[in-house]
Amino acid sequence: MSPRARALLQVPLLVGLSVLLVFVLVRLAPGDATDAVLPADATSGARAALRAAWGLDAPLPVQVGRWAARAARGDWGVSVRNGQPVGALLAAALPASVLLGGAALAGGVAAGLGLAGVQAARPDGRVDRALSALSLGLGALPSAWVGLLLIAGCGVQARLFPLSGLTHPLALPGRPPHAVAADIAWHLVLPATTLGLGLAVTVARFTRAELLDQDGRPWVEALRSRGFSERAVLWRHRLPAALGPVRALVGLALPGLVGGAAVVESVFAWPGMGRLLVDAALAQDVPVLVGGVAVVATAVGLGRAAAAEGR
Amino acid sequence: MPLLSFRLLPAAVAALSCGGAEAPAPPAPARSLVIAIPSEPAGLLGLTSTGAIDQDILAALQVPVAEATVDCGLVPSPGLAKSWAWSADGRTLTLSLRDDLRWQDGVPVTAADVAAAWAYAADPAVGSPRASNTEGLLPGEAPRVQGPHAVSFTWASPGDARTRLALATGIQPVPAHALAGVAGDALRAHPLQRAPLANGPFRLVAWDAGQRLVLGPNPRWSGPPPGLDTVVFRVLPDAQSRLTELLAGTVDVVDGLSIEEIDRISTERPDITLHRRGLRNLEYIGWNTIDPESLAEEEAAAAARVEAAHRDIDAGPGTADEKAAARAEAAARLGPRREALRPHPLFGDAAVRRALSLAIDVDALIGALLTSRRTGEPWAVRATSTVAPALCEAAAPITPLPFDPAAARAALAAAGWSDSDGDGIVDKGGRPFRFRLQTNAENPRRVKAATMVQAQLKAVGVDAQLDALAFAAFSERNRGRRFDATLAGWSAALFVDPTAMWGGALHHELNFTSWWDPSGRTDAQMAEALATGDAARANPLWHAVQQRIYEDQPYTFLWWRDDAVAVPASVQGATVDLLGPWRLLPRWSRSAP
Repeated sequence: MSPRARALLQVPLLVGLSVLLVFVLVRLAPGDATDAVLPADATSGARAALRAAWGLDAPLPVQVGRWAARAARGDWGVSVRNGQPVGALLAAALPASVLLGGAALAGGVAAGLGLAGVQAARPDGRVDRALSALSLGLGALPSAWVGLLLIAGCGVQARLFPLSGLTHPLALPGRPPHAVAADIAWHLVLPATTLGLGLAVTVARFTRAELLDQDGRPWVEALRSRGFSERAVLWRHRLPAALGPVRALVGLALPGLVGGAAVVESVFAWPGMGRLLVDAALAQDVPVLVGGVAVVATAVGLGRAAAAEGR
Repeated sequence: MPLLSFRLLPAAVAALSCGGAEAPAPPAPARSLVIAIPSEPAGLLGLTSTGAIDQDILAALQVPVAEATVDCGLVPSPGLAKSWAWSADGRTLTLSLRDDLRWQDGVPVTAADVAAAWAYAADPAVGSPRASNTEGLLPGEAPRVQGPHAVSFTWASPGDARTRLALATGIQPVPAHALAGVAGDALRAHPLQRAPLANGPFRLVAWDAGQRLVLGPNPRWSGPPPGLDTVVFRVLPDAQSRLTELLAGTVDVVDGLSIEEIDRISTERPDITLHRRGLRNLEYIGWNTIDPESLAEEEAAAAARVEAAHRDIDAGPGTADEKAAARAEAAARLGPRREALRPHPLFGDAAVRRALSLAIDVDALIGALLTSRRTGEPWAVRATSTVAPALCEAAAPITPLPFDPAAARAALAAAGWSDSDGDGIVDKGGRPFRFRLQTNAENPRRVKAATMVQAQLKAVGVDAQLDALAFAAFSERNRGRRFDATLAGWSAALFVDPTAMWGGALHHELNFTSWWDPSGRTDAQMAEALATGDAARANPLWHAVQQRIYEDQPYTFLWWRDDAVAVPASVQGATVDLLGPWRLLPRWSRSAP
């Protein structure tokens, strides 16, 4: 069996373990979902009644079993905080996260490959050293910080991009789809840049190392001896050949881009999975938390499979 | 349909990749207002929501049963109820409702809508935070529909008329015709939570999940039209983002501002007015007066007693109903007993608590944490009781303890605490005066205050070790009384009833410090003041209660904090009060740009 097939077969196991872990951790944490729903001065009797109504007073294995039985029928339950079906909440948040993650991924990979190419053209030259130092510095910055800097610089001062949100706050419902799409794309620039920056730096570092490793190999020398220009050898042949580690990186970065962008989503008020999961965790909203973690765990599993060797 | 769906993804990506064209900002609707909120409402059926945001938005969508004005108490004026009357025995309240109000779908608002809301509130499956409003009513009288526009409430016993009117008008009606046949446990998931039927000046035009709620004028509203055409509540979870958007002018209104934010706004945006909501938020340090270990032991012993009694009841004769009643009676009778509890080894002594209060410089804390650096203006005043200053005459005029470290050291020495081993920490019987001071980590002001208090106590030889806890853990420890000292806060009630907070019986769940007056006098005074219903007779009793508590210092009272709401000066009629920052939104207006 190929590593990729094995990784794919492990996805259900990964999802199951993740879900179980969420149930256990929520049970171990102080308080419960009634804290998010009832006022601070609610009596213990009112809390007990609500726990019973929601089934939170049942033993943990019973709660897990009930969830699994419902999930097997395609029923992910409802949020205890706002009563919305979990499936609908995930369906609303997932596209926003996929869009943000996809844009960050595309932009980050493209920028990283470009940087690596520029650096590898003249290794250890001034440009290479400057870009290495720059990428090291940018890679060390927390994403919340980068986001706030971009908001201050590109949003507040230059007024080039909106500061936050998915669309213009005063946009009225019923606009044509192309206007909505353009509005969303405009709002996407700063959060996607913030999220993609770290990936760009990592891709650049790995790809540069891979390119430098290729230097002097027989196939590269063969291309040079055939009269290809150094630029053509680098951009048309060496760079595509260096994409192997990038594919692995992208695979491993995928879950973070789908479910781990909570900080960026909070700073830019982007209504995606990260924010949904953070809000659910704070409210101990188990159905949403479990559903969201199942989606993220699936992304992790698929990412691992994508990064694994095909045979 | 969600605003962003998978169908739009390719178009959005394409628009971005080809340069995105120019900024697609739509024209701003005339007379619009954008209000930043940290999270979206859980739902907009008032019965199931606790959040202040939910209630504030609902206030724009629904006419309150009675309008409330804060004037030394909650003074009610007609709303949905155009008048009310009490029976001669003071137990029955009848509300006469307006007959000109309609739900957004054209159906009239009637007494049946009020009754439906109360039925849901009393249903445990709903888990309504307003379930306690229904306590004390006669069964079947919650409430009784007396006609299409009249409802009556009958309580089992007489009580304070003001409090009961507040309770009776504290549950908003629900559109019974739209909820026919909906069980209590289905209410939280009902579509009306996200698409409510309005009967007030505004209606909900759009709710983009996680992003914004858009309100517009309700065409069915028969009263004066609101002064705004569009109100957008933008969900901005990050406090820094809210401030940045306000300063950049992309958000108009922000509340819950820190003192640093207040200073920045007044420096950078002089065209923004900072409104004060008034003093309602109390912060304090609570000293646990009982030994938490002894409480845990007694709770375990009580559970064993109750379990044994339940076994006997189950094995004995009687019907199922009789056994259930007997089990409930046994649980109440055999619960934890105060006499079984030991005093806290440090804070069980009132003299020690007073000494600690003398060692804490509350004015310096207010100066450092709640005073404008720019103008020197304080946004808090010292507190001396749990009765809000907004309740005027009911709040006792108590002179706060001075900051006097020398007196604190002397008082500690008199209580037997002195530094016998020269390590800088006072001790008694070989035990150093060391304890844990907890607060909630999400509140940076409280964490800073706790750090300053730690330094001040260190100066008198007391070692406070800080625990900054996640709110859930913090709240659970407070409720369970499993702490030494807690830096916490209350949003004070706007009627005087401190029984839950200071009543001596252990079942009073908000008495986190377990303080009590062993003479029983304080409990008696509270009961007498509540029963009288006459402020002139009640206020001296309330003053005596507050004075007694202050003498014993179960709390070191810190401050009443004022909340700021930033509103552009161009908005006319912008008033905020203790009950909510946007409660009076229908009266706000703005000229068309």
